[in-house]
Amino acid sequence: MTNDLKKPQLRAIQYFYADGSFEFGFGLLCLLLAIYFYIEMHMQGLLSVLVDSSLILVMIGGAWLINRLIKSLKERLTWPRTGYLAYTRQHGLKRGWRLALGMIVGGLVAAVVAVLVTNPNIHVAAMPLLSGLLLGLVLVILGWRAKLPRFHLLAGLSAVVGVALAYSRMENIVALAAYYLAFSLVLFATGACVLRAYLRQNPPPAKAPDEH
Amino acid sequence: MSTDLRSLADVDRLIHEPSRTVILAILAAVESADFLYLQRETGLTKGNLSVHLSKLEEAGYVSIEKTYRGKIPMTLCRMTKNGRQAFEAYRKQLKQFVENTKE
Repeated sequence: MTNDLKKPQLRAIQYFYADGSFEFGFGLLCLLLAIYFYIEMHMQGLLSVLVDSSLILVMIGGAWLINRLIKSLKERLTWPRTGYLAYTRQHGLKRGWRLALGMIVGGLVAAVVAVLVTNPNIHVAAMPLLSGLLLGLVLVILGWRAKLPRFHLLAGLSAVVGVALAYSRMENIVALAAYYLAFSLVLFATGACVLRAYLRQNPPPAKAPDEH
Repeated sequence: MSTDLRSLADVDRLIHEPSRTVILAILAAVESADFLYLQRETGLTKGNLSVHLSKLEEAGYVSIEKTYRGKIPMTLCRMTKNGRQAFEAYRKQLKQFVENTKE
């Protein structure tokens, strides 16, 4: 019975990912990063310094844009069909522990990449490898938390693309832009499949007759 | 009555009704949910869901607010602090009962 109580709670978590809007948002962020790194590789001198220092702005602006996109998609497609849910924001100790865990795991991945990069016998473009493994890790955690196997598949793809580009003998920045472009396409394709399935299963609500 | 059974007899009867238990289980996991989501999850008719929500609101376990998200009118349901405490107590009692009656 207590396990049965957890099922509707799990479905409430999964509901956020039911319409593919997360993949579209995440894919858009990856596309923005691909464009950013593409621009960066063509810049020289002062412009290069300016572009380098604007990464944080791209990330913040991108996050804001994604938030708007997901909200807008849900407002038009999801909420009228299957209802609205607002999620609780975590505060305090639990949030702190999560951040600490994220930093430890991120540090470990960075250490592994550093070992690979400093070995003179291995030619590795570190950044796509780091990005592939880190995004893969984030997706594994999401998949485990929401019990959605498609995120594990995406995590595997992220790692494979990251590793393949790291050993492709491309320049670091070129490989990084290629990684984000490739992974954004993977995310858009996944989002489109999920959205298609969602729309098929949930036709638009019939308009109720006017009440006077 | 044995203590095992007494723990079950003491549960909150208002919560110990399958539809209301599901409603509270959902609301315990989120900040708020609208009427449509609850209706789909519980499989209840509009009328039945309204009745259950009214009972939970009267008991002070749930607060109901009619509002808009963008252009969409919504009936938003939230679990109150009392509701969270009562649901947590119910969950513990149920867990205790299951543990005590394990073979």
